[in-house]
Amino acid sequence: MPEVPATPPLAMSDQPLTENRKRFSVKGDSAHWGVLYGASVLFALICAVFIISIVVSSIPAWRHSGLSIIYGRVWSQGSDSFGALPIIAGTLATTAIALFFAIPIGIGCALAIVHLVPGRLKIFLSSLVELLAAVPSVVYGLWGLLVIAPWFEKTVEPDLASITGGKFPFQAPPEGVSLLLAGCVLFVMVLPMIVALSRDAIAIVPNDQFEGALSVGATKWQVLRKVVLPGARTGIVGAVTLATARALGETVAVAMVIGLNPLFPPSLFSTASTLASTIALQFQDATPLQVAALGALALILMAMTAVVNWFGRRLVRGSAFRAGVI
Amino acid sequence: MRIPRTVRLALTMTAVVVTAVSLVAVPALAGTRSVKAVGDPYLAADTRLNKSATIGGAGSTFAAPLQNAAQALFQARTSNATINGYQGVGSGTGESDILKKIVDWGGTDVPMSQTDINSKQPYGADYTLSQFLQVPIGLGGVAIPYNVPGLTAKTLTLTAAVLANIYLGNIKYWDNAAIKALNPNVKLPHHQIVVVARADSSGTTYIFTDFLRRAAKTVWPTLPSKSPLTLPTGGIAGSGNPGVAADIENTPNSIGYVEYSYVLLNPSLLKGVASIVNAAGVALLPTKAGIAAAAAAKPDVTSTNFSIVWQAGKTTYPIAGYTWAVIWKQNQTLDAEGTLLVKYLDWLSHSGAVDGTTAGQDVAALQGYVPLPANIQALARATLLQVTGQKGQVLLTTNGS
Repeated sequence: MPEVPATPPLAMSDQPLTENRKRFSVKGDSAHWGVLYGASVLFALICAVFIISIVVSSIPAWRHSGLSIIYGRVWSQGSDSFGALPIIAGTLATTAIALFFAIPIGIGCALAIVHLVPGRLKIFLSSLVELLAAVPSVVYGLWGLLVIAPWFEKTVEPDLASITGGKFPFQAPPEGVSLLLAGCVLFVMVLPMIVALSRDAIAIVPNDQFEGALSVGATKWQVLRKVVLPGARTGIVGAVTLATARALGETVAVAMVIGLNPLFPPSLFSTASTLASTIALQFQDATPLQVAALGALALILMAMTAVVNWFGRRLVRGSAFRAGVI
Repeated sequence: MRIPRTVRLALTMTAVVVTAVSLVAVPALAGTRSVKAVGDPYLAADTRLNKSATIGGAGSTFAAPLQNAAQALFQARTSNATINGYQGVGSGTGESDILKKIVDWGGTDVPMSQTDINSKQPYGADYTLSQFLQVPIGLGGVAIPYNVPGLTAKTLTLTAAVLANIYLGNIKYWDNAAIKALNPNVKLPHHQIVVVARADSSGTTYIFTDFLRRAAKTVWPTLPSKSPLTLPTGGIAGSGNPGVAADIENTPNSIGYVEYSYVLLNPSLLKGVASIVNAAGVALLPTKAGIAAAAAAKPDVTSTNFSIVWQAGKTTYPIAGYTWAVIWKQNQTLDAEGTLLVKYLDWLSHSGAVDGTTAGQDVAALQGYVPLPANIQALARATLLQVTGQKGQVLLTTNGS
């Protein structure tokens, strides 16, 4: 009678193998842990140094002007008066204009790329989006200044002005270089970012859900609105958050098309200024106090970006929470 | 070494065009015309270099067309010399850059003062004005171009007081009574004026505000300054002379101020250049003759007494100024580089040599500047002779005449 082995050979070698793996993986784990931990500490340290140095460098300006840097209405480098409220307003206004157009068009475009457009065109559109995302901002600025500004000033702005009869927010005179133009150039710049990131978020919504919803008789629009968009919400919010941060901080392109006039823009056709473009243009020849004031602007900009991120996170957490409840 | 200033891409493009044009135009002109020697004749032999060296400068955009055109020519005639492309970053930044020693010379339209040094020197440094020398390298004027569509007049006449009121926002429309009174036969549109000025610290702004202050003190009581002006609502601030020129060109109903050569470089700006009423009450367009008359009216300029705006004389254009190169009195780099620097600036600040070759001020004449008067060329030479090397030796060698 042939003897049946008590344990299969595989199981016999099981014990030492586990041992080996364990020993090996423990070593690997500690190295892996050390590297990652070190990297994250280093990253935190770099961020801390960066933020602290900006805070420290801006101290002379806060001493000089106090909180009037935030609520003051006159920014004049020459006379050392640092009231950044009009500049903050300009920054928010350009970003708002950009997002006003970019969010609906960007998300719509992403939905279309994933679910509506046929295969070949999908690839073409996708690579087009990635191409646009890689164009340096100075190119957008030049394009805005040389191509779009004349068109705005001759066609778009007079047409808009005729809608409201030259009343708010489209008072004369059309200038080309303006708040509206800066917002529109920003829109074109952040659009590919929103499209690319939302597209990826929409694409990973499980196909089962999509098909399941269709099979219970929902129309395609209903499926997109009720199933796909909520499923991709986290990614889309992330895309919009990143786009907002980019719009707030965009420097070169805005500097070229906004007119750099640190006043409250009474009209969308008027010139304005933004935090980042003011920093870029004035730091090269600034006295230590003026450098500190520009540091304060950087701090304000960072705070604004932080608020946007925090708000984005809250939105995402809210949706995840609700999803969990459901 | 330098941060690439992408904001000034437009300027770089201008520079490339200017350089290309001058590469063709200057030698061609030098070949067909015998250059008249002015004052201290420049000797071609002086630009020879024993060792190869590289220098670079940055600053005033007022001087940029001159620098860009002259540098190419100097390099072509002097082997061993490499001059990095001049960075038109504005006069204020030119001063900051020479104080930080990131350039070999800083270009400024307003000679640097001790106050400038105190406010801009690197942290911990304690520089004094006597450590620097300021060499006049160009003479030009500030033109007032405007862009008013449909205006049939050849030129609008403006005064300092009207300009000051426009820049203060007191005169808001083109058909303002004050402008009408100066231009009785011109049909002016009821369009809002778009004021264009400089966004960066600018010598051109200094010359312009110096003019407003001297000619219309009651309307413009503030002292002249390089700092960006506070503009009326809707005003546009452009980066550098090229930025202002582009903004005027692209914006209807605008008015601004740029160095004269930028008007010549942008033919579309030539459509509307204001005639400015001078101290004798005569309205004049900017011309080389008018700018030369301003220089002639005040021949004895120095780096502390340099203003030539609002000079007397019927033919004098009232908004003119010199542009300067700021350098260290004791050269801060290798002797070979210091030697190249003084030889280049000496060549740049002089008119054609007795041997008929072209020197810097001949290039200047082609670019819309006025060649420096003979006494100013001599001032430049005398100043450059004070530059010393590492052992205290004089770097500029002139082999006499």
